[in-house]
Amino acid sequence: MLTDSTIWNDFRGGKGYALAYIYSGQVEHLYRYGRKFTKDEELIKDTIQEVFYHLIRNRSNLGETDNIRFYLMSAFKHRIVRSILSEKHSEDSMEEHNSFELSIVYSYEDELIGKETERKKVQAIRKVLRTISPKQREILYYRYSCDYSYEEICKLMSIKYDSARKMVFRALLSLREHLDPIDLILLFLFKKKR
Amino acid sequence: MDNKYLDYTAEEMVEDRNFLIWLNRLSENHELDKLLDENPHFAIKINQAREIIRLLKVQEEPVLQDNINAMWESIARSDRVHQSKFRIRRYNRLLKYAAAVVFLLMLSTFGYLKLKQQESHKMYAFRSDETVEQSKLILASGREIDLKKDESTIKVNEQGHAIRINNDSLISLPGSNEENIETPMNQIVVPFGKKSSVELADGTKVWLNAGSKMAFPDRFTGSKREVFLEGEAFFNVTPDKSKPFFVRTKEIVIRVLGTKFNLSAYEADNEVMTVLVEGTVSMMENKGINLLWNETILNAHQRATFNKADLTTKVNDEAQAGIYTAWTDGWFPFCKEPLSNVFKKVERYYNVQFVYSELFPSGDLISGKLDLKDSIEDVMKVLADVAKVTYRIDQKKIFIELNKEMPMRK
Repeated sequence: MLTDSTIWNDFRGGKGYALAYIYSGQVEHLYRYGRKFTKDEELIKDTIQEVFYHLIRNRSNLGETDNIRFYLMSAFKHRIVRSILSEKHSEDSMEEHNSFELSIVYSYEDELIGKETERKKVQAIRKVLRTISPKQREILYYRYSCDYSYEEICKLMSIKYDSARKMVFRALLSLREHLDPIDLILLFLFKKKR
Repeated sequence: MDNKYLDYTAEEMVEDRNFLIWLNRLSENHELDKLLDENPHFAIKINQAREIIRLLKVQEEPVLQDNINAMWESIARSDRVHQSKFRIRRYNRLLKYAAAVVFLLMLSTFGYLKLKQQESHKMYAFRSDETVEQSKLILASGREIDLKKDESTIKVNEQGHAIRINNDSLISLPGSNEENIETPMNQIVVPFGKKSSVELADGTKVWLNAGSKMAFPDRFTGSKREVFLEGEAFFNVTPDKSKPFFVRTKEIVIRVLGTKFNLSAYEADNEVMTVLVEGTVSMMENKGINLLWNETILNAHQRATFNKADLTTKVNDEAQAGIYTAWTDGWFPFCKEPLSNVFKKVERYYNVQFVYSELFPSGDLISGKLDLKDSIEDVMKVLADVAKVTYRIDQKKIFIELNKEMPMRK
C-alpha cells in the first residue's frame, strides 16, 4: 500500500498519478471540514481550489509530510479563516482579529431536526453540545472525527500540548456532566442485542 | 485481571486507546458481560463513555459529485498549464509529462479506488457516479476488463497469481514476492441489470447482485481476510479460524469465521440488512471509534437490520432465510414485503427507473415470486396486477399510475 510520504514525494517529483490520487482521497474531507467554517459553499470550493493551485505552482518547493490530510487541512484552515476574516472586515471594520473561532456544528443538530418525533432528542443533544465552547468543539472534532494526535492538534490550533489535553478533558467532563438528563433518551440506542 | 480500568472515569475511557483495546479483547473472550454484571458502577461509566462518543460522532451530508468533478476539472487544467510551462524549461522530459497529462485525464474520467489509511475508518472509496453498461473488473494496476456476460464469473487462483474470467480467459496478476505487505485491491463493478460471481483466493464464493461493487485482494496475506462491498452479495465463506473474514460496507463491518450469509448494503437504501443462513457472524458499526458496543451477534436464520438514520440495529428471526438468497438462483421471492421495496428491487434487477404518480408506491405488503429470467414486460404484467396499477414502458423509464377505479391510498 502506498504511504503518504511516497505519494507526497511522487507528487513533488512530478509523477502523474499523484495529484489525482491526493485530490480524490482528500477532497470530500476538506469539503466537510469547510462546512465547519462557513455555509458558503462557493467559498469552500474556491478555497479548496486555491489550496490545490498552490500545490501545483509550488510542486517542487513543497516541504515533506507523512500526513497529507493534515497538511491540506492546515493549508485549508489558514486560507479560509483569512478569507472569512477579510469579508467580515469589509462589512464591519471593528471585528477583532483573533476572535475567530470555528463553530463546529455536529451533524446531529442538523440531521435530526427534520423528523418531528426526533425534536425532543435534538433539543437535549443541542443543550449538551452548547455546554462546550467553540474551541472545545473544534478540538473534539480533530480528536474524534479526524483522529489526530495531540501533536497535530497543537499545530493546527497553535496551542500547547498541555492545554490541548486539558481542553479535551474539560470538554469531555462537561459533556458527561450534562448527559444525565438525556440518559433515558439515548440509552436504548446502546442496548446490547444478542 | 487488570483492574485499573475499573476506576477509570468516562472521560478517561474515551481518551485512552489502550482501554479500548482492552475492552475489545474482553468482549471477544466473552468476559465483558460477567465483568459488567459484577461491577455496576463500571457499567454505568461505560454507558456514559458510549454516549459521549455517540455525541461526538459527526455524520454529514455527502458532497455532491458535481462539485467534486467541477473543482477537479479546473485543478487538472491548472496542472496541465503548469506542466506545459515546465516542459519548455525541460524539453527532454516532454514525453514523460505528456504521458502524465494523459494519465491524469484518464483518472479524471474514471476515477479509481484507494484505501484510506486510518484503521478506524477503513473503507474503500468506490466512485458513486460510476455508470457502466457492462460488468467490469478493475485490477489494482488500473487495468480495466469488461466481463461482457450478463452473469459473469471470476475466479482467483489459490496462489493469487491469476484470475480466470467466465471460465475462459486467464489474466495473470503481477503478484508480489513479499509475504507481509498488504496486497492491493481489485474492484469488480456490476451495473444494474447484471449479476456476477467471484471465487476468491481462499475458495470463498461471492455472488454479486445487480448494482453492486466489491473490492478484493489477489490473495489474503496477513492475519485476516478482508473485502469491501457496496450493494448486495451472498457470501459462502471458506472456514479458516486463524484468518477471520471481514466484509466492510460504508456503515457496518461483518466478522465471520466460516458461514453463509446475504448482505444488502445499497447506497440508496435506508437500511443495511444481513441474513444469516448458516454459522455465526457479528455485525458492528464501521464508523468512528469502534468500541464494539454496537456489536450484534447473529445466529443462523436471523436477520439484522441496521438503520442508517438512527444508527440502530434490529434483530429478527427469519424462518425463511432462503428468500434473501434466492436471487442467486434467478428468483426473487417476497413475503409480506412493502410494495415500495419490491419496486426498488425490480429497478435494480432490470436497470429501469419507475416514475410514479403521486402517493405511490404505497406501503402495502405483498407476497409472491418473480422469475428474474422473465422480461421486464412480463414482470410488469404480474406486478401491475398485484399492485393494482397501470404502467407504460418507455425504454428505461416505466411510468406508474394508480388504477382509476381504486380508492385513493394513503
